[in-house]
Amino acid sequence: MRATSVPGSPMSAVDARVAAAAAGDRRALEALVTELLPRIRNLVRYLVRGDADADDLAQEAMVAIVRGLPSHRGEGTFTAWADRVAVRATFAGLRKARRARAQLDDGADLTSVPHPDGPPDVYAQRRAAVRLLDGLPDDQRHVLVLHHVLGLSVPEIADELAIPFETARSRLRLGMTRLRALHDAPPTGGRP
Amino acid sequence: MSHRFETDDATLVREPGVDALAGVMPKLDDEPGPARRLPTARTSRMVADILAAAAAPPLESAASSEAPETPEASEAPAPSTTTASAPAPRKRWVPLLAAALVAAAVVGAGAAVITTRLMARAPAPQAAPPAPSPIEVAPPAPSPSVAPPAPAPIEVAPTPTEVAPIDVAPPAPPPRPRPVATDDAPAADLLARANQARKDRAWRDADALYRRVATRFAGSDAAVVAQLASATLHLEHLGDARGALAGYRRALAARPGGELGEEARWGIAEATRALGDRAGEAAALRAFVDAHPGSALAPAARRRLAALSSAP
Repeated sequence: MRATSVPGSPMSAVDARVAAAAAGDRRALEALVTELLPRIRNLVRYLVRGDADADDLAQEAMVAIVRGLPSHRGEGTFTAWADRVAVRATFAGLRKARRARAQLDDGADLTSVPHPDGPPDVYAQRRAAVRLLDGLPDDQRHVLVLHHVLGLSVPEIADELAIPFETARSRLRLGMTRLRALHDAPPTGGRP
Repeated sequence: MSHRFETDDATLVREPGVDALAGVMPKLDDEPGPARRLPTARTSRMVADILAAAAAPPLESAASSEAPETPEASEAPAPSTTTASAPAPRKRWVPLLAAALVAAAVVGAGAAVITTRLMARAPAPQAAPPAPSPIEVAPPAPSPSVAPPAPAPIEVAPTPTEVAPIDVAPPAPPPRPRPVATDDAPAADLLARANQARKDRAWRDADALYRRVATRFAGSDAAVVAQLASATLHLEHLGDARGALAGYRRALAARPGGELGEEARWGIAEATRALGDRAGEAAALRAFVDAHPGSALAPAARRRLAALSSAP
């Protein structure tokens, strides 16, 4: 693995850590995992319903990232590469989970004791965002997250999900419409 | 941020009115959320689990169609960890981790402690700060149409200190049967089964296994870790905050210091909050702040304390 794609250019701290981790430096690997974990947990939570499953899938995604380090060639940013690996690992995990049982749909973890910080804060807003996302069908949710959270274009999404371009576009449009409806709908009661 | 919803992708149909949703889905960054915050000890354990699982052979074979590909693996003939015929070069840390981290995980709490110590010496990561965890308690497990049986009282308890069974990914060696617990099964096997059950959302099975570890290996770090995991299950999935509180208190009595103590004290605060015991929660939060003033959770604890004292 090459940790930097520009010969002679200074290595970023992340690049250096990635290179060291891939070369067998255990401390660097631990530091890398520790640094990346919050981001991957957040990404996976955007993609899946329920906090408990999100953590399990995030852990699997992190393992895939660690195991994939040798194949990271340093093209583009490391986090972008890691995001893609995490997305693929998450989708693979969801497919397996679906075979074993129906996908969870309660989102129960969110209807619990409110966060002590209280809104408005970033954390609370993002918890509210996934509560909205939890109301979307998985196919629309995944396309929305890939587009808005990861910034992928529609062709990239179509490629990532192995679906036709028009299907990706349609899911994105439907998902946005549905999300807006959920956003504008009056609260249905229950705890925040 | 409206561009995120309007999108500058010319291939997309612009949705009128989407500006109202601006900010609902911000780009991925280092800010907290939407994943729930975790106590430091749990984060440390998760890191240890990841490292151990990455170093260990997968418990289940990953069908090639299910294994996630790394981006480059799908674009170039570079060695891919997901290609069975092209096993990734084993790194030097693999045997080291297999020996150290797997063993640490088996010994239970050791993993968290060891990892933390190692991390303390490691180059400082500047990642998103370990998320101060909110007090979030899942309501009673989604109840079927029948009244749920009362959760078994906690006797001893655990935490997911597993060599996590990993099903995604990589070069798949022959499938390894899931560890079978016998009466002389080591703590590692029981914990592996418990963790798998938790992953399968078989909460009661997982709880029974954690309690078994806590009972059979009483006094060990593994027992305390198992006690904590069981208490967390009771709090988050079994709708039994009272049982969780008892479990956290037992764990705290067994290991009042260190990260396990931190997790136990935080759990007590969560459980008392779930029980609606404001005085108890305030006392637990004060104890937490006194014992762990430098914890990543301490700011949230202080804020909660302030809110409790100002509320009528």
